[in-house]
Order: sequence, then C-alpha cells, then structure tokens
Amino acid sequence: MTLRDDIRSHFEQQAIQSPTPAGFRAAVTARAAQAHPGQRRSVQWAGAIAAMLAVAIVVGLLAAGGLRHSRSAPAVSGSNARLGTPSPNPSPTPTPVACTPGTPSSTPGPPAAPASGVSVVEVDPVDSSTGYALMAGTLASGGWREFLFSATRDGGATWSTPVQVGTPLPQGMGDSGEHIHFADCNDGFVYGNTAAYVTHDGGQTWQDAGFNALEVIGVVGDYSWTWAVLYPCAKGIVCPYQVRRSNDGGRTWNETLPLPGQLQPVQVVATPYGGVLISGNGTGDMYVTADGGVIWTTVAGRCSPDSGMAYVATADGFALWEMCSGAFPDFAPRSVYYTKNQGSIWAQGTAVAAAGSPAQLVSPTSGKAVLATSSTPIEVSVDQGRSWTPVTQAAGFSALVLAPSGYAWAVSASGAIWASADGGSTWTELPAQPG
Amino acid sequence: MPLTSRVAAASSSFDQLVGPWIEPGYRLAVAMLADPDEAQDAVQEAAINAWRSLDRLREPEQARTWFLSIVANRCRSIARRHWWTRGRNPLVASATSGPEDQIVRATDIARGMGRLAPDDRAALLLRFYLDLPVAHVGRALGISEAAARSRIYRAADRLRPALTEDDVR
Repeated sequence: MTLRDDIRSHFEQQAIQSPTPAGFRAAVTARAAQAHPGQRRSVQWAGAIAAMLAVAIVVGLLAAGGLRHSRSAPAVSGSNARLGTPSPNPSPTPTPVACTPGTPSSTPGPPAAPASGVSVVEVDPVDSSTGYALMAGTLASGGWREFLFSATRDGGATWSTPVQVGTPLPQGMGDSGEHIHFADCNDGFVYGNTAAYVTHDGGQTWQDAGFNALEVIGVVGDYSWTWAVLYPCAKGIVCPYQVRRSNDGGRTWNETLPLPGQLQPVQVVATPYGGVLISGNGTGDMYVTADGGVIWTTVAGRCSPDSGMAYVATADGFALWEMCSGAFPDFAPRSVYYTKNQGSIWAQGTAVAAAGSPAQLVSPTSGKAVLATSSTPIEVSVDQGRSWTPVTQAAGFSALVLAPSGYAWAVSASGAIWASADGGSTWTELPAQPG
Repeated sequence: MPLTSRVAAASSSFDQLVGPWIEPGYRLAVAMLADPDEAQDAVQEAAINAWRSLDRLREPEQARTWFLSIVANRCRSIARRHWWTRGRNPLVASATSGPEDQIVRATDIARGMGRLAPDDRAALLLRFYLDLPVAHVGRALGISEAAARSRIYRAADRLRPALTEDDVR
C-alpha cells in the first residue's frame, strides 16, 4: 500500500465517520439563494469587528504566553529530524506521452497474418498529425475476423505497417474488438463486447486488457482519467454493470462502481476534468459525473421505452444531446432533444428526417452537434438541434469520432477516413488510407 | 420575466453550478477544520459568498475550483477565529476496524494529519481524494501550480516519517 493509498484511505475513513448530512446540498444552496444582498455589508462589519476582537485577544494571550500550539509545532519537525529519515523521493509517477507531430511512425511489430477484405472499422484521431485506425478482415480459413492496428503521425500522408491486435475472433459476435481508443500516445485500447486488448507502447504490441469481463461496453477518457464500463459477471449471472477508473492510462484500475441496476449501458462519453457520461438503452437514461466520480447524477432520458436506440452526446457533461430512434428494430434517428442543465429543462429540436442507421452523434461544443448515419451526409447543428446542415458531399458513414482537440474523423461507407479540424463543420478526405 | 421567475431561475442555475461541489466542499472543510459541525457552517457560509459573487465566475467550467477556493478561504477564517481549538481534532482519535497493521497504519496517518496545517491537509485531500490536477489544487488554495506541487510533496513527506518511525518500532 503506497502513501498515496494511505492518504486516500484516511479521507475515505473520514468520510465514513463524518458523512455529508442528508439533504445537505439542497439545504445549503437553498439557504444561500435566500441570502439578501443587503446582508453582505452587515456580515462584513461583523467579520471586521470579530477580527479586531480576535487581534486584541491574540495580543493579550501572547502577552500571557497562552499560544501553546505555536510552541508545539516545531516539536513535530524536531521529531522528524531526530529520526534521520532521508527525504523520500517522489514516487516515479508515469506521465502521459505527448503526441509529437512529425515524429516517425512507431516501429512496426510482427507482420500481420494475411486476411482478406480488410477495411477500417473505427478510428481515433488525436490532432492534425496523429491518429489511429483499427481495421478488420476475414481470415482465409473463414469464420474468423482478424483485427489490425495502424497509426499516422503526419496527418494521414503515411501509415505504419499494420500490426495484429490480439487473436482473431469468431465472426458474428456483435462489435467484439471493433472499437479503438487511445488515452495518450502510448496507452490505447481495442475493445468491444467480449474482447479488450491494451497497448502501452503506442500500438506496437497488444495484450489482453485483463478486465475479466463478459462484456466491455466502452473505454474512454485520457491518461489521467480513463474510464471502462463492463459487465463483470459470468454469463447467466445477473449483476450490475460496473464502472472502473484508471489514473495512469489503464495500467492500474483503482476504483469500481456498480451502475444502478436498471441501467443497461450502451454508450460511454468522456468529458473534460475527469467527467464521464454513461447512457442506457430504452428511454436513454444517463448517469453522469463531472468530478472524477465523486458525485453521480442521474438524468432521465427523453426517448420512448420502445426506441430502438438512444444516442447521446455531450461536450462538458452538463449540456446534453439525446437523439431517439424509432421503435426497435428501427435505429434511424427520429427526434432530438437538447438540455443545457443536465436535464432540468429539455428543448426538442427539429425532427430528423428518416435516415440511415446506425447514427453517430458527437458534440464538440455546448449547443453544437455533428450527426453521421450510414446513408446521409454528415450534418451539423449549431442551434441546439433546431436545424441541421449537410456538410459533406459524400453520404454514408460508419464511424464518427471526436477528439478533445476538436479534430474529428469519420469513416465513409467505402472505408475512407475523412477528417475535420473545426469540430465537424468542414471535412476533407485524408491523403492516404491505412492498410 | 417576473421577479419570482428570475429568482427561481437564478436559484436553479446556482444549484446546477455550485450544487455538485457542495459535497466535495464539505469534505474539504472537514479535512481543514477537523470538525464536522464547523465544516457545515463553513460550507454554508461559502455557499452564501458564492451566491453573492456569482457574477465574478467568468467560466462556468471553473465552478469547482472557484467554489472550493471559497470554502478554503472560509475554513481559514474559521480556523483563525477558533485558533485556540486547533489542538482539538475529534476525527483523529476515531477507531478504525480491520487487521491490526492496517489500524496502526491508519492511526499513524491520522495522527500525522492532525499535525499538518489545515492548508496542507487541504492540498492532500484535493489531490489524492478528490483527484484534482495539481494546477487546480493551486487554484483552489490560491497558490501557483509549483507551490501546490511543493505543498503536496512536503505534506506527504511529513506523513511518511511518522510511518517509518512506527514501522521501526
């Protein structure tokens, strides 16, 4: 157990011994909001008088030699000095790796086994130069899908030699292994459904992520705040889905949290400063934290219970978008809702015309959203969903991923990667494609 | 808009903005003051101050560090007001449960915490319990990032020798 753990444990114990009183938040904010501005001056005067009195008392007690604690303080440091304990070196905390533009591509790993029909299934952009692609192909023996990783560090002009990720997976297992996310330039994940692999060397080698989970819903976030949402129990055993948190790019997972039993998570979105949004199926209820998991807020979704899918997006964890599809199995977006205040007030946007599915929805900034479907151009709304503007000539996209930097990549129906440097408002096809 | 509606809207937005940080603020206050009752008062007074100075919050995304900094200031004021009780720390002596070595270790940490200045305890709580980035710890305590890093290190350093001494025994 490290000193850091001891300190955390101390405060956890303190929180158990002195829990926050029930209803404290509501009482505090309500009383604060009742405070009249006129009280301020009197409070200040009272404070000034109290301060003057305190000064007078201090002076008096100093004269009487009453400040005992001021003498006891040096004794503590004297005690430390007597031990002769050398000053401990700060523990070598690993730090996130910056993605340096223009650096050569990572050394390619072992060559991938031959697979046919290889195409890009998902991407993860970082900035104008760096991005990652996950490809999949069918093995010649048939029935198995092989996953390949490739990176670019020059804005898509060149790509590293594809590296095999994990072992081939049987076909027909949903989205197993079909998602990719990098927490920083070294630490990345390929995951989905029954499989999860991790790299800590920029994608040169991949290992099982060790989640020991039946299902991996999502792995999102940056090096300091990486979140994983999993189903941790064996098949046939009913238990809550679980949230895990890592503060070192997924090297260690130091916290678990069971999700509310009724929430069947389908989407996980990271937000700045350790926030994450987890949304469920059906009505699209959301479970949100903006402070690294200290406080979680449940936001009731706006979709009807028979919706085939509820797509959510957020830029900050407070302004939320929810797009509801028609009744199962219609996954095309039908209606859109927007809230600025975590669901206190929702506004309904313009009904979205019948479009292809599945949809991908991201929000680069509060009030702006970008939508991609399998049969329409990418569309952007900058007025909280009241109107949508097509921004690509091409139509039909299978993936749409937004980086915190505002760079976004989308994968077209033909497997080509498109890039946007302005939060999805304009798009161009990358000069070269992986594989 | 009628005044009542404006007040209701302002109250609602205040709760949205500051409400999520009441609990972390209370934890900060308990850590600094080591007295749950005083901590409640500190958070309440901080919330009132926050309400009155809401217009000074330029960036809503900074609400966390902004409110925590107000709580820390209130705690300092209260600590100064009750400076003669600083030796009292009702939370330190509380018993813990678990294996014996864990109890000893936890007691050592608790004692070490009791010897730290409130601002040092605040720095450790903000960094290691609330997991704030060091820069935000600095903002909440009104010091630079470098000073925050130094304070965290020094505070942790002061806890470690206490453990070492007892480990030797």
